[in-house]
Amino acid sequence: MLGLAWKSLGWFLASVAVALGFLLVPLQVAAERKKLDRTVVEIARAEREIRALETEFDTRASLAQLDKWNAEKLGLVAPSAGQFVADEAALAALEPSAPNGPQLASFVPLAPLSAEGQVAPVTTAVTTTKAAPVAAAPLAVAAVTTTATPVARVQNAVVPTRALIAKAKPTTTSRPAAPVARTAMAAVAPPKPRAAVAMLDRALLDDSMIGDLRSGARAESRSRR
Amino acid sequence: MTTFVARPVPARRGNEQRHALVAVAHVRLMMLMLLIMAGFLLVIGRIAILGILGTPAGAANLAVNPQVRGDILDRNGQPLARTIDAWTIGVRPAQLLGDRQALADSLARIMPGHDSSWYLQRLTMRGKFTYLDKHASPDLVNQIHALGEPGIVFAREPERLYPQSTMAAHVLGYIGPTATDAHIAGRAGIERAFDERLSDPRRRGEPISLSIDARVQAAMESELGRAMTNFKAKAATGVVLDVHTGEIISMVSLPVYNPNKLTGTSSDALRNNVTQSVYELGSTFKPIAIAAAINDGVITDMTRRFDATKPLKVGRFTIHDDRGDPKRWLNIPETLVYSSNVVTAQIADRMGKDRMAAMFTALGFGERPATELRERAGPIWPRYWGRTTVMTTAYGHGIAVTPLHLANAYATLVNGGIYRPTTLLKVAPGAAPKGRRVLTEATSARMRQLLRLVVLLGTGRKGDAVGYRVGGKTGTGEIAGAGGYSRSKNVSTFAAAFPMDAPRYVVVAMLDSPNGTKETYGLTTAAWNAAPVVGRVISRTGALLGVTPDTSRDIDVSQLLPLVWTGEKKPVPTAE
Repeated sequence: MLGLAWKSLGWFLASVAVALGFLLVPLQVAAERKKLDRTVVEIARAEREIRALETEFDTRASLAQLDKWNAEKLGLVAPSAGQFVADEAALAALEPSAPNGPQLASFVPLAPLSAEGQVAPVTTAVTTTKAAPVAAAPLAVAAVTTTATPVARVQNAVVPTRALIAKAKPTTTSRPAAPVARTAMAAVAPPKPRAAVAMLDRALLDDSMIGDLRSGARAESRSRR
Repeated sequence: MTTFVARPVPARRGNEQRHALVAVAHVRLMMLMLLIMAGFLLVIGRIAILGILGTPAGAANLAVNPQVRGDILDRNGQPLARTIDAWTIGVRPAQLLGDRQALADSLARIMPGHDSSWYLQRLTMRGKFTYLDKHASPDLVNQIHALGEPGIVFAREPERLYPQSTMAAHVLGYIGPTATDAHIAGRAGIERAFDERLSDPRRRGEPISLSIDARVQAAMESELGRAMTNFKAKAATGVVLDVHTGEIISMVSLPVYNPNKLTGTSSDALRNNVTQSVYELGSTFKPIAIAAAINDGVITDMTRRFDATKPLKVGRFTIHDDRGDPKRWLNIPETLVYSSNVVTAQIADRMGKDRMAAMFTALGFGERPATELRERAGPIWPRYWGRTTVMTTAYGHGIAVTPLHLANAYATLVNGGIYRPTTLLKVAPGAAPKGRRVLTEATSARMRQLLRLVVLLGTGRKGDAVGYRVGGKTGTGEIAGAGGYSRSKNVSTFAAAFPMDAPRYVVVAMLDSPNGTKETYGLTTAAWNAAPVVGRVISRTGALLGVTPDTSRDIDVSQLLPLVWTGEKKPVPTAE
């Protein structure tokens, strides 16, 4: 009698467990589905917001508005025929230092090294791909800056300098050699002490940049006239 | 001593009385139960009805709202029209708590579009709800929310927005109700032409890509707008056309309207002058006549000379050249360079009515311009082709077409002689319509040389853009009004193509009734006002369109160059 009671209780408990299990599965599914629906709604909302922001940006930076700003402030003009180069050979043939040569967007002379660098600022735009890494020695710079020197002689001059540097290596500072000169277009300008990056929060384009753009545009339109 | 105080025995009710009370209570309980059941039934019935007949919440709103439409993009994917959720600010006047006058004052301060009396009127009206502002920025909504007035409500509702505001307004069109039809639908431009496609819930997800290039459109609008103000012109139009596909890269009609805000727009501004207005386009027709003559073998020799020493008398008409033009015998290149009416008329006379009309028909001048837009005007075709009509149409008088017709005719002249219908929809690479041949390759090649000569030596000099090898023809048509042609009012047009050694784009600029300025020495001819617009547009957009300027290349005109007499003194191009 007692055994039968235990047995039926066991059956009862087992069936309750199974029923609960069956009940829980759809509940779990419904909860997951609800979460999914919520995510879908969130995605849709985010997409709508992105769209709204994009549209706001487009509206604020509409082409008519940009044109007006350009007319009032920047004065940029379309590039003229002379500012296009046909192919790589023509690009290589460009001579930036020539009196009527192309005007570079910005030219940043070498930042003066610290006292032990002993390198005078070099302002010629000679392509110094070979000499640049060894520019820490005054001799090499002197050899390179004489632009009239035939290439062979320059190389001759550079080779001993290399040897000299190799010898002097243990005694030179650990500071990496700085390139002689570079254009702002080719490489990022060295960080200025006033930390241009930190100013991004305040103004996207700082005054000096706007000024650069304007003076460049003015010089260009003057040369065109 | 003990005293008993006994409670008096209450009078006991009779048995029947009790039974009656119980019965009444039962009846009351039954009624209560019935009421509750009826309530339940009502709720269940309502749920069943909703379940069977109702639609999900918000679905009706989405399906019906006519502001929800597909996007319109330019050829590079830049959105030109889209629907966004914009903030709207409304007011429920009955729920306002604070002082209405003060509230109206602060609203007028935050939203200066209206004065405080307007807002006060809105705040005190009897209705349940009214709008205060649509298209509100989130910032504005925050400011008004900070007023803390519970009667003012905010909602996000779909709104049609044209991010570039007035740019390409005539191409895009607008949506809204009209005076006779309160239904919101596309009422002009692409919005009207593709209304069904844009508002179809199944297809509005995919945007429409136009052939318009927003950058070129903006440059054209800015240059034409400047010329229009400068010369105080009544209207101006501009078209840029891809000569190999018929795609319209830019279509500008000034004055323009703002599709975001139509109130107060004049009917002049609503008209698309590129497709809805017809003009007698003057000397820009001369290359078409010459091309027809070359193509039909009427002119076989470029050196053949015609008499331009004196005005041409035909019946009671006299055809003049301009005073500055050389009074000599002119050959074919000279005819175009000096834009001689007299010689063109003689050539047209030799060609005759049939061949002239056939050429105009082949170029589509007999029908409305080929475009998807519904706003199209038919050309004014001569009713009677007399001998003089043939002569005058050859130099663009007596026949009136839209600027789009002219642009497409020039595309046919320079692209090798194939006529293709113009389109405002982007054409996939290689999917350009085959078109039909109107001119031979040789005629087209000759026309390229002649048009380049006009720019190198003639009236189109100001339309040149260095390195882009522009070729084109100016035209100054007199405006026909009541009592004949007006001497002082004209339509100045410059139709050009570039680069002439392998033409890719046609650019047409037209000014309606320009005035002379000090810089143009008081002249109103196209050489002084329309040609510079084209030159500047080409130098601004040529590189964007994939044409690299190159001063070392040009079309070979050495064959024709010696034929052009440049005179003892260089004649100033005052002509048309």
